[in-house]
Amino acid sequence: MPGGDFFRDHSNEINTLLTKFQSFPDISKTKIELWIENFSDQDRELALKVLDKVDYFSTARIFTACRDIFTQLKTLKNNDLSKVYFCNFGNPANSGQHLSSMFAAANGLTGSNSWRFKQVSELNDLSLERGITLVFLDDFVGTGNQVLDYWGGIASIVPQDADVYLGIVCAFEEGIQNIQENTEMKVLCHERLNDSNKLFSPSNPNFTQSEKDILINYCNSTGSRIPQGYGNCQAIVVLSYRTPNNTVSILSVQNENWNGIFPRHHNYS
Amino acid sequence: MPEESENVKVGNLMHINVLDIIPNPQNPRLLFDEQPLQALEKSIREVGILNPLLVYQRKKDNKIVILDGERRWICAKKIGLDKVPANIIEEPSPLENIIRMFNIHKIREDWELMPTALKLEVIIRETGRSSDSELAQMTNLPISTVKRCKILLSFPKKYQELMLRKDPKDRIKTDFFIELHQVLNLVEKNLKNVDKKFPRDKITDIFLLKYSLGKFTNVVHFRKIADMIRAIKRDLPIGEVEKKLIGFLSKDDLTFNEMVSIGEEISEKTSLKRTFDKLSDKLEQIEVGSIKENTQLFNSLLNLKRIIDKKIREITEKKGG
Repeated sequence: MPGGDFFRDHSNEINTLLTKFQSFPDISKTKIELWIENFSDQDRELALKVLDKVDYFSTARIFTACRDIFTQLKTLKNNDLSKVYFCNFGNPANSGQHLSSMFAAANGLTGSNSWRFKQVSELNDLSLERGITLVFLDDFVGTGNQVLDYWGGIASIVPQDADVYLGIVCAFEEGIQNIQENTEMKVLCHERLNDSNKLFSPSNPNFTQSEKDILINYCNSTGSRIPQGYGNCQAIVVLSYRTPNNTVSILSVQNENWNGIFPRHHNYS
Repeated sequence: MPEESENVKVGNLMHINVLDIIPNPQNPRLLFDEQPLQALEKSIREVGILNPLLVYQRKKDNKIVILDGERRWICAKKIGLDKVPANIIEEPSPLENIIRMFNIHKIREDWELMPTALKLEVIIRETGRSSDSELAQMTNLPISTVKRCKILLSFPKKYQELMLRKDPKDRIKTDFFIELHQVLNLVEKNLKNVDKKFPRDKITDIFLLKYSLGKFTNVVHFRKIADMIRAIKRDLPIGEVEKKLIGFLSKDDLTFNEMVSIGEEISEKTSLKRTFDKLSDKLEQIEVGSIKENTQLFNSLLNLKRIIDKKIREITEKKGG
């Protein structure tokens, strides 16, 4: 196998990465190696470094985030959860690993608490209720523009005087600011990212400028229309059940030009 | 918050601090066309706001919420006016607010039809009125939009969710379901064998799968299937249509174009049969005397016979072979 020496020499690092990403569907040692093979021989160490720096949200880490969001909410509500509802913020339910389900499981809100969880299409059941708290749940926010656009469509079905929150597992500061300035939603965020978390930002301390230049070229070579991620976010965030579209293309794209490793999981189910 | 907005008097025309006012969260018109906005701004600069805003004070936080006049308010903020004239009314009930917002609501994009449909559902539920014309009158929506909304509401929630996804790439267009709806109805009404094997939800799932797999890309193609089913009434053999449709629904990899071409093939056969039948009737009715005197007509008839004989020979040989 081409690159055999490299993979033999770096077997330990690859095994460590495999452990790190083990909760991502279909991940394997071969898959990691095939992804590294997208890079030329001299850049494979850099490829390993990228995987090492990926901000990976394992299922356990997402559970922790869900618990944190819930704690923030309880504090704000003085533990009065009598009229609190949760709603998935328009994300597809993939492989049963719906963020709402994880949120419910992480916070013991299953069984008799299932009434609290609504789909967007069920919000109109609440439209005439007064004094409710509605917490939308989202896993990742980049620029916040997609949230704004979506809010523009669904704000009209949100109950009139509801206290509305957006609970987010991970978000860029600029996105949070954008949402808070332009919508009625108050943000409860577990992990906040800033400029230094952007792969190609001068303030990112993990990669040298020459490494960033090399990686930009690889991003451009993937054939993606958004090589540096949606909204030019340059994110290197991957969640155990999906990859945000703000994440750089070398991590998320799977096509004839590029052997993907963390596909976005597009489907209707 | 300034004193004026802490306790505004209902029923009065007041001048309210621009910064104390917030847009109505129930109004989905978050984006406004730039050109009309510029014209309005120019007019306000020249003569001020002649038509006061309509606002109410929200009980939960005392904020002044716009019911009507968001564009005027945007311009006033842009110009830097301190205060705007506004008529204050009582906080409307959620239902009143929904109906009022409908009247100034303009759907920006196709996908916003689903949220609109959901609001309409609230009105139907709360008022008990469901006729298209009544709803159109109440909401100021065109009847065609009301009809489209009602079609969307006829789908189970799990499908409504697909139209409400945040990422446009993941979102299924409302047109998909509107076009599919007529196919589902036609199948249910006309193709009992298909309906028995593939209930509505199953057909919907299959079409969604084919859509996600790129087996067809244009939802208008649903109309071709609908046309094919409707053609049953014009002698298209029902068994053949059912067989083809079941075949299509059973195979994930069969493309929409293949289905459409099958439909066209069936339609062509039906159309040919109709032509033959018409010609036979016509020939039966012809008076021999009228042809006898007309050489041109007689030669045409002879030519027709030659062609028919040739085709029948070919068909017989093919069948024999």
